[in-house]
Amino acid sequence: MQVKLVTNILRANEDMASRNREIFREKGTKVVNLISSPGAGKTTLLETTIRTLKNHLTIGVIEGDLMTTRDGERIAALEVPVVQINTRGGCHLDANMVHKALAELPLEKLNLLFIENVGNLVCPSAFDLGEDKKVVILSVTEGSDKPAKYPTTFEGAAACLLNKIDLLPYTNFNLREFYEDLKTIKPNLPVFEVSALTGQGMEAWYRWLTTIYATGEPSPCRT
Amino acid sequence: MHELALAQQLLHIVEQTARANMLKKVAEIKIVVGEMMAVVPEALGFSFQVLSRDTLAAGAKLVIEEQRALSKCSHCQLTYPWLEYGYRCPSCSSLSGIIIQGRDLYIDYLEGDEVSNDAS
Repeated sequence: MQVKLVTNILRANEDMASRNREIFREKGTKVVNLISSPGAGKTTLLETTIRTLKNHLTIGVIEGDLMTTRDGERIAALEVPVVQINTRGGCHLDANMVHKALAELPLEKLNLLFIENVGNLVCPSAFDLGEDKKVVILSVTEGSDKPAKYPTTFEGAAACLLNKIDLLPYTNFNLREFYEDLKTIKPNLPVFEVSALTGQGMEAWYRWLTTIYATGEPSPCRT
Repeated sequence: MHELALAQQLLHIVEQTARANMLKKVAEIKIVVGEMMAVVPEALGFSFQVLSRDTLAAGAKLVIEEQRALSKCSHCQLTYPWLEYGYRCPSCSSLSGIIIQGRDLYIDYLEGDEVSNDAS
């Protein structure tokens, strides 16, 4: 006997992501899902961003890591609400993990919620969490070939941060190749060249975030 | 790396469907995997094989159809492989492509033996 299905394998995740999205909409919280390799600087980016914006916007964070609460503790030191999720080996966050974490956050008070995904440039892009925007972070020390090697992740992003730009002179990162590859993978993707550590170039990122909060859509910007 | 999580979801749906349709054993499962989903078919097959032990899907043949990621140029209407060219049309170089196929990840059908009614 054959049973015809045509059922999405990710259905359970997508149903939960829709529930999350509905909750975020009700509470008026805009949500940004940060995706990068391990060590690209996601937590440092969050620290600098929170320090600068926390007097203008109320910000919360969900931290995803395989192990440890170290990132969660770094964010908690900035006195913003944070929930640490440990996936214990899982290579990505899913919508259900995020849903459980929401119960511990004062969502009605939050303008912006950052979800720092598990460090991994492949799997997180397949799992909708209910976020408004996915943002991919690449650091110059990882090499300019990453958009070409992980095209689906960059294709799914609404913005890209090119981090550790202060280290550019000490690497063989090829900016021209990077922008050329990105142009075919995601034409018009906003790119912010930043150093989360020194604060270089961060103003454009802050403007983008502020516009996301205010309108749900990014401001027009250069690519 | 997320194939194990996908295999869990797949097994869950297969078991639910089999029970709802009174199948005592699942013999074959056909799934369609789009290239945009970054799934390694071999890893998905292996994960499913391990997880389905001691279930009614144990030993089932998993048929995986790989669906190519295709983009259609909005300028010259050419359809071409997205993973190779991205949004730049290989014919007219326009960057106005639209992905028309390759994001699917679904179970097409499953086949199995029905529970006989002899006992009733």
